[in-house]
Amino acid sequence: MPDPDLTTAFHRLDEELARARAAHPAAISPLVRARARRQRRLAATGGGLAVASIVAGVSVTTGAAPQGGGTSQSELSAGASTPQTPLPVPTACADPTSYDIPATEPDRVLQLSAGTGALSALQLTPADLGAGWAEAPTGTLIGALPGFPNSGSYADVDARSLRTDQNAASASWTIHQTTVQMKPGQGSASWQEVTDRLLCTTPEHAVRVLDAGEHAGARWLVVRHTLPTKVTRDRGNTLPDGPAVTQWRVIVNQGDLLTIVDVDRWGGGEFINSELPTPWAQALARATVARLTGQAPNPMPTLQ
Amino acid sequence: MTEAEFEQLYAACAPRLVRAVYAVTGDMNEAQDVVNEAFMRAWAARRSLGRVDQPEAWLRTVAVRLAVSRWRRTRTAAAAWLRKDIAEAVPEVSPDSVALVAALRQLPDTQRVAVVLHYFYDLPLARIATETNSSLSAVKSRLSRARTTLAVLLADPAPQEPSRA
Repeated sequence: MPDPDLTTAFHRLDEELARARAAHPAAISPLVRARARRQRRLAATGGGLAVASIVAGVSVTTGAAPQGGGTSQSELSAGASTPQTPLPVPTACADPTSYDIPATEPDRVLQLSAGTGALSALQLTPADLGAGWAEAPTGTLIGALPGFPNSGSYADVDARSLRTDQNAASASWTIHQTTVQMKPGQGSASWQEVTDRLLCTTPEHAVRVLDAGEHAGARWLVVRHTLPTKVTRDRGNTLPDGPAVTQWRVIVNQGDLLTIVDVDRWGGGEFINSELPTPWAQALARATVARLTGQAPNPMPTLQ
Repeated sequence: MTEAEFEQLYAACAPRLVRAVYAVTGDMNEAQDVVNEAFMRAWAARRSLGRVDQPEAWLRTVAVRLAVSRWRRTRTAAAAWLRKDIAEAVPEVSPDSVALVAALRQLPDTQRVAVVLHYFYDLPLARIATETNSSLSAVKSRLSRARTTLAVLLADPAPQEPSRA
């Protein structure tokens, strides 16, 4: 069959199919959301397995803080030379609706008040993250996960966004980092508040701890978790508004400084489910600690 | 991308995407499933989808890859169903279109995808190369082979000569 015939044949097929059967209703809700509910149920089952695997012994890679300080970033990276401590284990939230966001609620917008700029030097830079990273406009953080400390206790704040090449033939990644100087004496309580909330699980919020440790007065936590989606409650059942979105989060605290680094993926095709390599997430935590403690981070591996 | 924009994208793209995936899989139920799956992924990535130049191309890439992946996984199961003589949901289309879909199912996955993107979506070869993560020469080769095969499969049977008894 010559080319024009094939073109005609395909266009005829298209027209006939369009007439023969309405492919989809105009509304997305009954189809996509029903599938999302099924997937959520499966994810909840898988999440339980993930937690079980952590309890069974995922490798512990970081150590307790040696006394005296004065350590270098290379010592920080070595990690193995320090005593090992167990990773924290996520536990069920006391309130299973802790992460529910009602479907009627507008997207959360975290409005960060303008900082003094003094914390800028403590933020990660594109050069810290290796090849392929560039700074991106920060703007307001829309849809930010609840989990930041109460902004009433901020003394200063700085936010930065970094991203990989969005046209690259590989997965694309975005980092949003928010560093907060808490009011004097409130750093420890804020760390406890933020980590307690992050490590608490619900059907809406599954967590896997990838790394945790303390070094030179700084402590950090690295998790892979699911962002809660809006939910509708129907006769006691929780109906999510969309499938879970995965995010990697690094939290570092030193004194009254607290920094939260969120890593998000985006892209199409085979890259849409790209996983952030755990060693890279761990290296990110070390680089964040180094920046926060005024050291130059070690070079990061290139993120594929 | 807001929820309203996402709904618009769905209304604008989903029906034709289902028909294109049907051309790839030859199964309407499977096509609808695959397109739903693609939109579910788009929904999950909707915050960043608004920054993508061509959301329809993004969805098409995801849907076609899902279709091929599921096609490969379920080929054996599909064969078992057919052996059991369970009727498939076949849209009412002309015999020519039925023949076209049947012929497409006999092509290798990569050729079938290239043909559908080129003839169904009228995409240029360079665009197909991008969406299928292939080289331009590979796309040309696949289309050429597919055309040769389809020409044989879709050719009118030669009239039989009357027997000289």
